[in-house]
Amino acid sequence: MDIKVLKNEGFTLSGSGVLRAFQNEKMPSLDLLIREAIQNSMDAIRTDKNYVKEEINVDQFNVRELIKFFPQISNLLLIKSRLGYNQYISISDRNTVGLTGPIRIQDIEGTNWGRFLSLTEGIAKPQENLGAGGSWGYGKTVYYRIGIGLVIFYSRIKDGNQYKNRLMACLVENEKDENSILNYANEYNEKTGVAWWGKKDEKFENTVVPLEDKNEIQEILSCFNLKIYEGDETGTSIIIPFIDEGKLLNKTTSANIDDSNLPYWCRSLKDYLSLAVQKWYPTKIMNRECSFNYFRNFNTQSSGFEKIEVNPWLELYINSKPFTRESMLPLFSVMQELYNYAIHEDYESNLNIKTEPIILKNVFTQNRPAGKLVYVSLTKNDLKMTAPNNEESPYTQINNERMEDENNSNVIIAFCRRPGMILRYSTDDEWTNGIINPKEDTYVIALFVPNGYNEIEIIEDTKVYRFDLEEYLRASEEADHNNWTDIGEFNYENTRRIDVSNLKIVGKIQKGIKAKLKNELKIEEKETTISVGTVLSIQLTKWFLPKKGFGKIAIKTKDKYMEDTNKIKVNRLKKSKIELKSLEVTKENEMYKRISLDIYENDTNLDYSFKIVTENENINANKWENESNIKFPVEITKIEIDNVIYKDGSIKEILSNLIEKNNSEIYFEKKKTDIYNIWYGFKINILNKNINNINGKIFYRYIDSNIEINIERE
Amino acid sequence: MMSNRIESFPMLNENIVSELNIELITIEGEYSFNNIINKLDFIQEENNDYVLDNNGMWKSDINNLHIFGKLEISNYNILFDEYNLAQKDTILGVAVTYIAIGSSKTFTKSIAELTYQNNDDKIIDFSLDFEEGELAAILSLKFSIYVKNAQKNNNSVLAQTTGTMLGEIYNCNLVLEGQGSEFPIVIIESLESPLWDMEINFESFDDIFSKDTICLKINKAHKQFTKLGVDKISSNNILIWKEILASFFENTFLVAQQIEDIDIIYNEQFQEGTIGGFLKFMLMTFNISQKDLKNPTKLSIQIRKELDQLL
Repeated sequence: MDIKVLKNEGFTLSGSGVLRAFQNEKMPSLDLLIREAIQNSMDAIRTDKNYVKEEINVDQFNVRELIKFFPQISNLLLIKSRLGYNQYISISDRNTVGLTGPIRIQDIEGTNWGRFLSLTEGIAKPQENLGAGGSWGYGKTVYYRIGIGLVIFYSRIKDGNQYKNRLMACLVENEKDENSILNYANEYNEKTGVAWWGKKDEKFENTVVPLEDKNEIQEILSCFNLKIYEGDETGTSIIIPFIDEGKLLNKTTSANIDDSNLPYWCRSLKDYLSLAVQKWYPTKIMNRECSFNYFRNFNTQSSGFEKIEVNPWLELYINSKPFTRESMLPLFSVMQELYNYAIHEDYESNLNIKTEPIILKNVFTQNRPAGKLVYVSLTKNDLKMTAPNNEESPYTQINNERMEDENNSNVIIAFCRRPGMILRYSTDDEWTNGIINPKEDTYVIALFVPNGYNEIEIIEDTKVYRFDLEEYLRASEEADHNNWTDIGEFNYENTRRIDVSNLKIVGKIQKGIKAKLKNELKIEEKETTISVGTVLSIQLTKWFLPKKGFGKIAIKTKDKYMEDTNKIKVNRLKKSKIELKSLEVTKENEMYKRISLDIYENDTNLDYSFKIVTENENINANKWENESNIKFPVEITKIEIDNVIYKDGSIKEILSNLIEKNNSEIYFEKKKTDIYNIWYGFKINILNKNINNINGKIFYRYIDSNIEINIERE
Repeated sequence: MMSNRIESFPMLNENIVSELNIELITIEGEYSFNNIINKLDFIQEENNDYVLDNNGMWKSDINNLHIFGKLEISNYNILFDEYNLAQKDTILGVAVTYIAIGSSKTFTKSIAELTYQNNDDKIIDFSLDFEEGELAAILSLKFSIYVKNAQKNNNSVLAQTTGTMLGEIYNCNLVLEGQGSEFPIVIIESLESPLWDMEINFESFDDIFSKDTICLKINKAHKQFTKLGVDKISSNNILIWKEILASFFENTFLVAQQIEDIDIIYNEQFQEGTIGGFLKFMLMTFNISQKDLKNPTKLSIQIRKELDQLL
């Protein structure tokens, strides 16, 4: 094949830079490889398909044949193969659209590089597809870290009615490494460590385009015993030759782990890749039940529901052998059940799965939960950890290491977004800390599935910005898609950075999950007071306590029961007050109440009204008549003053009606309703400061006796 | 308390109630424990009736209660006649409303009928039953008169609706919460906890002594529970109980020293029912000197020595 080496033009990217950009010390490269490759496959599913067929091969390959296609570096490749880099990994998908789009940078329209160029030329160009799971920016750089940096991309696409084959190879290596393969320093100043192989471009000089000749491509694929796509097949194969199985497997565990203590999948690349697919895609792997279309009520005014994407499942082959559900490791099998339970309302599981909505207050425009927490508590037996299965513990399945002392809470929380990849298995971090599973020998396994369509609305500078939870969570993922961390700013449609620092959605979800699980796992400490009649209680009380004073039991004999309490006397400013005696009825069936007014000289303007009693507020007469247009139900008919008592104790008998009569001592004023002229209250002005008390009668009649009436001071 | 109500019909007032001369002639109680009926007495002091248990074991929020009594009502014809509260052909009823203060339970029960007749004195028997846990600190009883069967008369302003409450005639408060001491011990069921444990939650010596502030917990879920024997302390289990109790008191004194200056226990008086009062009593019971209290080894020995004599 022809080569194009990336020229060093000052600010050009370099192999060392690319490889450094996405280093992830937390996760083995093989895990990153599987996460990236399968997510890209899922994202590329054809619209007429509901599953992706993924074939992973690991084997030796025909080095001598292959290096013929790389004449510029063949000797060094041969040396590498003899140094142990003699195997390859290929990950091939079918039912996907393949590497579509332009094959030359010059043909790019706008900013859309297309799948082919994004994967091959645009090594560090970020993913732009909204809602996509993989990162074709930094994520794809993992391909170059698996082997010596050489990767072959083969794809078959459908372009109109035509099928097209494309093959291109790319090398990204650390150009500063003394054993680097590309050696063109003299020609291109400093090395870049990046080169592409294909065929010479007829349109532009010094560049290459993918091989398109079917036979030529088959020759290259034959080196790996792979075949070109046929019939209506479209898809992409990522072939990574020159890998060292031992070195890759070593990176799956800590350096100090004794080989004999490794789980079986850490001893075989094929097994490890199988485990990695199970670990990160239990939601998809051989899971026909997960397949459905996501719909969103996009515009209720017109077309109703709009299909927006498909939720594909994954048909997996490892070295041409179909993977079966039965061969899944127990933890991942459980995760699959949890996922199916979360996404299907009516999914029937043999496991005793529980589900809880995680509700966040005042975050989304609609009152829907942020997502579902599904979880199950399983014994070691349930997880096949006991004989005869003797499967590894869930922790080993996640971390590859057998822990001597599993000093864990036995709580595992996983979470995934819409693409379905498990982002993380949390065992001892901010998702799980504080949750204690009190039952020994049981594991609580939980999965949180967000409701990605929840809408978030931010108003900034009077403008309204709307985006959904899926977008927020995607933005909150680090480049390795390994966790969610709340963000301060959200890049709204690549046009504006809006402040979302107050949302703290991830923190709230974590809090919600922890609260639900803590509550569920709490062992109710049943506390019963020891039966008081038992001899033990009487014995202990008798031996260690005085007879009384230290409890609430009925005592045998009466001592002084009531202790004197120091009543606090409060001096309040005294106010005049009216006291009503009980109702009396005259022989003429007139109802009246005796009233007694205690007068204090600092409070002499007295104003009283009858009011209708209701639960909320007492309604005054004018309001009642204005709003109901019904007569106020009680009417005062007469007020009589019997006597007045002065401060010196003297009494003045007044048997006349004083209402509205000018008097030097007391002045009464009637209050009547505006509409029906009903007498409902009275004002009293006390003109003589020596008056201490007024006694009299208030006569009234009920118009409607079903209504409860009070007298109130205004 | 003064009412502001403007009634639409005449109701009972102080004068009428006074003339009815209501008297609670007797009130007694019973509770059953282990199928044996035990009697409770009530003793009146000031305006309340206080419960007394000859066995010294009845507790309002744990045990059941059956109370029964006699209420005498005199001259009740005045209700139909002199005071014009009800028409002569009306049937009045007497009801008792009980309110379990502290547990917010309330219920009204009809206990007698009053009709206009020549014999106008009446002794009304009443009884009330309460299940275990139904009561709290105080049981308030309110006796009232209501219209049991009204007769319609358009020319009358008297109450003419069946069920109308005419007013309260008598009320009393039965104080059920005693002051008898109770050792703070509970039985718990916890798979995680040891056979026995203790909880100390007081922050000051003035805190109330109760199971919430200091408590000995015995774990029923522990495999050794049955061997412990929680019915009574006898020669079979005395050794283990001595050790549990010794540790319980020892810990109590040690924790108390971390919370406040323990010397004030010796120097000051504490109210009955407080943690301070309890500590003071225990220090005297175990004959612990101020010096020994601060020496964990001596404290431990002294408690065990005294326990050997006590038990």
